[in-house]
Amino acid sequence: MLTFIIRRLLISIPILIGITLVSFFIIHLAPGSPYPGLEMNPKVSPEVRELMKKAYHFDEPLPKRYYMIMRDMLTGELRSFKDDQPVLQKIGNRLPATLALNAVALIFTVAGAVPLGIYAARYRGTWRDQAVTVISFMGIALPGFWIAYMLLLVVVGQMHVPVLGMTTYGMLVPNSGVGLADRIWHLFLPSLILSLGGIAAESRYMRGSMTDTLIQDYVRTARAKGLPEEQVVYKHALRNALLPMITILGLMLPGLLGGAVIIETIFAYPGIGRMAYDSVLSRDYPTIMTLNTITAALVLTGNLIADVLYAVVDPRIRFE
Amino acid sequence: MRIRTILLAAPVVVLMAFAAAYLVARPYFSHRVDQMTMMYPSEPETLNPILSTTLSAGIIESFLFDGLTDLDENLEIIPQLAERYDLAQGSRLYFSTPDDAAAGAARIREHQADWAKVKIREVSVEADTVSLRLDQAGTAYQETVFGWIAPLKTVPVRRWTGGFAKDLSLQGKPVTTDTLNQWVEKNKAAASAWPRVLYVWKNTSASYEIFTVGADAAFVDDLQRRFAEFVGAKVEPVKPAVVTAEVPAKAVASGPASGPAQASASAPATVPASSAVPEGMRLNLAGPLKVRFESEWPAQDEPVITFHLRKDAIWHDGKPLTARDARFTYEALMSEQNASPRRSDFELIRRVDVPDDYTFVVTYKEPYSPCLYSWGMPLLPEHLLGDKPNLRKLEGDYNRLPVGTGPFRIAEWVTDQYIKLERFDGYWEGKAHLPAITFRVIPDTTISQMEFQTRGFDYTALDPHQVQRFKKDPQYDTHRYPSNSYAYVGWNLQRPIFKDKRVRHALAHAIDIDAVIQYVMYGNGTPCTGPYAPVTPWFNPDIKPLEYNPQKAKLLLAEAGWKDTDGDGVVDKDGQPFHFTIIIPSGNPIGQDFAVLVKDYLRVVGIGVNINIYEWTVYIEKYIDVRNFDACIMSWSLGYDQDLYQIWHSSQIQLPRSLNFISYANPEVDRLIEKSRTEFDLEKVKQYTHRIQALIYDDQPYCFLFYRMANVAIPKNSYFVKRPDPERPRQWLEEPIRPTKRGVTFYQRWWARTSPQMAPVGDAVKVIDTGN
Repeated sequence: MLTFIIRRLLISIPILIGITLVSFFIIHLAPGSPYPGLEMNPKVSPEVRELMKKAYHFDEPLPKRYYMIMRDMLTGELRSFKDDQPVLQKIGNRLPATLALNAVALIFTVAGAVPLGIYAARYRGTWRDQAVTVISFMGIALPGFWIAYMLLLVVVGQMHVPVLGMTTYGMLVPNSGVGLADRIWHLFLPSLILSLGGIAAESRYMRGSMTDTLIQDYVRTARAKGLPEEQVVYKHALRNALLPMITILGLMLPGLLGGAVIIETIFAYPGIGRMAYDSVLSRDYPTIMTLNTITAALVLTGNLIADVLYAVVDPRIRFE
Repeated sequence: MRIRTILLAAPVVVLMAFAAAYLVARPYFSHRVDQMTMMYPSEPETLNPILSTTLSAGIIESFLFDGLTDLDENLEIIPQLAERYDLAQGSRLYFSTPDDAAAGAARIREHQADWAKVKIREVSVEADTVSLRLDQAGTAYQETVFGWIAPLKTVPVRRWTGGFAKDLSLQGKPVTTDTLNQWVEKNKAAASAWPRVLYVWKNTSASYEIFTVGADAAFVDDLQRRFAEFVGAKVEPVKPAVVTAEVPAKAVASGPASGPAQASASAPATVPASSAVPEGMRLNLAGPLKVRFESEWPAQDEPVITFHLRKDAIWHDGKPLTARDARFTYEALMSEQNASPRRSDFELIRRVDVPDDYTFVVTYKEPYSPCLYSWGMPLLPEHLLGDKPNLRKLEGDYNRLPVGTGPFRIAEWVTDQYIKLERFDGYWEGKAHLPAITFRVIPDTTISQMEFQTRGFDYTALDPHQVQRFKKDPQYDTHRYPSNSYAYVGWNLQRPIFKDKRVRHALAHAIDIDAVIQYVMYGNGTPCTGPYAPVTPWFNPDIKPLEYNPQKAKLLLAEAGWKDTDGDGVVDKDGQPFHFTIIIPSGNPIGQDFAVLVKDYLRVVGIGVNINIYEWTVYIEKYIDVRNFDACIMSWSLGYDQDLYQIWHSSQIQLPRSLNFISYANPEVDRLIEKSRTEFDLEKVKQYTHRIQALIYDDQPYCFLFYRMANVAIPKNSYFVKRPDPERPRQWLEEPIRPTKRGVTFYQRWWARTSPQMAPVGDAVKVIDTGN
């Protein structure tokens, strides 16, 4: 097992380097400069624009720029083009907010998807199953931003309940308990909307895997020996049906850090997704590169964790 | 059983946890801090005015910082941190012989008492040079003085811009202006030709200016070659691609292979250098070094501005403001490491001096009157930043939490949420009334409108389509004022189809601008009649917009030879149909609407139009910069000064990434633009600009569409202005909020609440004064 993990980690290194190379060159193939918006400013002469390019090493050849950006990234020296802040610090500032949001969304997803999937599988083929299916597909089909707008129209526009941002804007907080409650409350709507698509999709997986399990021989055996249906489903079938969900949860790990671009923007939530979007708009290459690399690393880690967990929970699987 | 219970209970528990949090926090939702809240679409990159590039950063900076000068509500320059400023000028006239110089000086001395408009304080002669000290700045004195010394010839002063392909360094140290000038001084004695070099000025690492008396291009070439040898510069050929006059032709040939574009490509699109380049201008591309003749002056004029700083201004940390801070700000602007986007305006400064703590003297290399506007530049504190070589890589957090001299100081910046400013009690002009102003960041415009209506904001800018709704709503005051931006369709004048002025007039007559304003802007615009904003004194109100008249357009087209000979509905000439492509940047729905309307209007007069949309950077780099377009729709947001040089002067055509991308050249406009930017008498400048506007509008190089009207909404009776009375010291002047030429928020630093109790739309909001 240990050798397997080490081998996987070693293989990840060239993969990561490859990913940084690809994302670096894709970013730099597109035209762009570190001063978006200044191209058409009569008060900024072309020479000054050149000077600004130079300050960000745009005059160096591409391979050297790649080397510089990677060197700075690894030493934590990389600074954003947009505001000259260290990129890692920028990400670090927004990390807690995003982690909290996505963790809650993950809890919503699992708490919603697993029971819903089991329910649909147990009543496979009946109207209950079809109702769940319809709801799931609606959840997949309706875009999150649309639901968000509709919800906000009612919650903010009509009910005047503060839900934007991370805390109630301008509120005088009497004690830290209320402050905490306010923060938790502000996680509710955005994470709920973030999890809707997840609940819909994951519940389909759960239903599929549960359906597969329920027709297995050992389930029939369990039923045959007279176990109550509850025990058959929740004790014998569920354990096996949850195996594929481990992989899916592993794949959801990178989503903990990113992925919430639109919802974070609509809810004015100060997270990483919004920063990523801003950096793309302002052509902030160092930030884009760092986020890409972190996401890639998380995907690789997520896969590895999923594989290892798989072996841990399923004794039939061995890594040699 | 347990598992099932957990599975079912988990979602319920999670939901209950949130419900509990809501119930705990809910009673406090309506307890608010007393602060004025402004809407802000995205976080500013920095609040260091030397580095910031966006307008939105500038808005916050205007509360935190002051400049030496400011513009008042009528756009007149007023003192700010400088109590007053004086203009003076040192002028040198170079005569061909010392005898002439002596004779010239004698004549000036003899007549100077008679000149009412020219205030000469001192006249001195040295060899062939007459030096004057004037109590005014600019070139206006020349008309008088040169009239009196007319038969005596002076030698003109020329400015050349040169550049090496690489940075110059000498023995490992970067070459500075001083190095270059010392070298010139050393060599002056060696050869007889050398005294003709006045000085060498280094702008950026690879570019510099040479001021010579009468020297020709061959001499400057030679001078540059010697520089290169001196500093051991690696001599590299400069690619002529970006500077030659043939480039546009190449760009045409490589354009997208649409039918009409090819049609124009096959025509001889080469612009002969003689027609595009004004006389006296010469490009030298043969050598390894590029050098460009920039401007010629009959005399060397060095305007001097002396700022007398007010003694009661202090920084937010309590330290007094001194002239050293002004000098430091200048040095920081010019530092290459800082790479300040605002440096262009300050490159014409020859040197700055600080004779005492409260006097700041700026000497310019040549007369440039818009420089007065540039001293609205916020000043930075030397005592905090003086030892920092690179402001872009500061260790501390000055760039986010700056210390300024403005009426508000920064209290906190919560990333991606809000930036809070607090009143600065030590402000020299008096204490502001609002305890705090907060800029709250809401990126989504739909959501921020929603928040505005629930009083999450105290102020909002309105899109054209929202204006009517807010106007009718009795809860809001709306204000409307002309902004300083205009939209236009630019015709690429290198394309043969747009070369004929009659055709351009026809295009203007064919577009119903009033209807465009009505449909696209919901009436929030006024027809544009030229390149100056109507709020500025430079704008010529006598010019009437060309009327919508498709019949006249057709006649003009026919006059220019464009007739529909084959009956296909499209006019043609020499077998070529009148067909072209308009390009617009993406993400601009209003621009796209214009393009469609323009296409529609032009079809009526028999002109076929294609519309292409490109992402902004692609648009600029692949099309505009390389002149690879027929027509483009864009808008200019203007400053308040009179300078049109970058956009309309023909010398800009040849430059890479020039803003005169439509290749407009009119010798008279060139001359007037030069005059308008060297003249310090604003009444005279006004005469020049009025003429410039008339000439440009008559040339129709753009189809000028409209000036935008800006609209804002404020909750009714929430704020009023209580500002220091300019007439009576230490007295306040109260007035309602109204639009000024600088917008509705111009006096925002002096806004005061009408009542601390604001009636919100929903729950009662208790505004609690925290006493800060």
